[in-house]
Amino acid sequence: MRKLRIIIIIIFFIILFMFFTRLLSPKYATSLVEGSMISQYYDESKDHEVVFIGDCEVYANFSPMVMFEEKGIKAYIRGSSQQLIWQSYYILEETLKYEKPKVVVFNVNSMRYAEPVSEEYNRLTIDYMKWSKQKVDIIKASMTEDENIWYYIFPLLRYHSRYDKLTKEDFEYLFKRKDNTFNGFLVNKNVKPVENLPVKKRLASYQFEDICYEYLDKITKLCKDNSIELVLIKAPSVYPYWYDEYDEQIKQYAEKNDIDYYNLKNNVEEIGIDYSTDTYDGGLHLNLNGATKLSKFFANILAENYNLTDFSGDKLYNQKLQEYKEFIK
Amino acid sequence: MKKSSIIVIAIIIVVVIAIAAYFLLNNKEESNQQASNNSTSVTQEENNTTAIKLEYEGKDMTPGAVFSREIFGQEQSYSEVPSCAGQGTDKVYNYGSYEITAYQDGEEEKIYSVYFIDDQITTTEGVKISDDKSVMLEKYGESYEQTGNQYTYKSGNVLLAFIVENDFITSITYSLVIE
Repeated sequence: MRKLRIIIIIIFFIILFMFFTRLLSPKYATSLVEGSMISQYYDESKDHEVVFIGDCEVYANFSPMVMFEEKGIKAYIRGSSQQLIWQSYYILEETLKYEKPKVVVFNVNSMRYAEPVSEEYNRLTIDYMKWSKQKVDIIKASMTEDENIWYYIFPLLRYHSRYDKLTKEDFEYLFKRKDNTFNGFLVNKNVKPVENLPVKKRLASYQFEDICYEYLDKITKLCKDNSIELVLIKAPSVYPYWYDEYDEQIKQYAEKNDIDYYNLKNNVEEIGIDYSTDTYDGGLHLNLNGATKLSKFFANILAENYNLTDFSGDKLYNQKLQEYKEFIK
Repeated sequence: MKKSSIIVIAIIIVVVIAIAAYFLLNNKEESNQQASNNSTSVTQEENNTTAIKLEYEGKDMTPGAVFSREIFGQEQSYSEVPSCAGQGTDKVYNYGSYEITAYQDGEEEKIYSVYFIDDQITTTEGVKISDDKSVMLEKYGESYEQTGNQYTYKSGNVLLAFIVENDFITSITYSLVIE
């Protein structure tokens, strides 16, 4: 009886702690939805033949549902905002625990960032990852100087001061999650044409840092060890500028490691992208229209070159496709 | 039985009080830190009055200074560059020979950085793009931090960076240090 009472009291406090952790943590359900993307993957079917990893240039520009409709490809985008290359590596490592795709597509934009950008971006990628060795590794690799791993282990320590910033969303999504993407694709229908861009600034150095190459090597090795075809891409965003010097380094790396590299900026005409109608933010990301064109184009490249299965008759995916079509109407 | 229950409850109360105290102290430290940052910022701004400044055609263009079209006139082109997750927007004003990137600070826009586009604009000390590296050294001295071919002078919360290629200055940028 005495033991039981002690156990009940301890359980009560643990539940209380968990409840407040959940209540005070951001939900990323209706605002800053980019923070919800990583966790959505866990409930998906794990039979993708193509997995994309990378920053906003993958989740905004490629639509797996279009790729399925076009070529019967089962693809998933494990993208997140400002996903740094070491984050891409650990997310890929985690993905391989669940499934083994035939092709991994990595967007090389993050090669330009050698340091964590901000805690806010880290949180969008890491907060809702399931606990695993990869989550611990990604936290250690990503933390800014001011961050502490305990704040990730016990989010209440980080978010306790949100008590006066709680919104309706925090209560509505207290015990549920909102899926905001279609296989990792975040739909945006807005149109903001490319008009003026900042000048192309000279840089002190165009050389990618060693740490970026170190993780690119790790991604390459991980794919080779698992007999996965790694494909490097650069999405056709017009800003931030992708310098020729950057492009040359990736070309050389791809050649040296026998990897395919597609700088899709070189295929803008062929794809049919019109930057006056196909972008939602002046050229950083494509909108639904632009992403549809790009996805059709890239689906053809994938289908022609990587021996993928045509899953056109798959019931689940056809159902998903109908839901997607309803959503984008 | 009662005695041990009381001990457990007492331990839990102590833990809860400790956690509450931690949060309170943490908040207090954050407030103090913020106050300290504010005062540092003021001190640095005061220091800047005798440090790196950018004045051009009678306008104060030092990073941190207020930006408005009333002061700078109509730009040649304007662009907004959103961040990936919509966490703020950079406002970029192009005036032909220079480009100002501004950020929102309450009701006001303030200058975050000034990038020289051509040799029509000079630093307050008279250095411009295309000048020899020796001019930079003569005006600003040797107390720079070098990263590759970039020479950066820091004063207070302002950075002045020169990129030098083949002994000629090819890029000049003023920017604000955000701690």
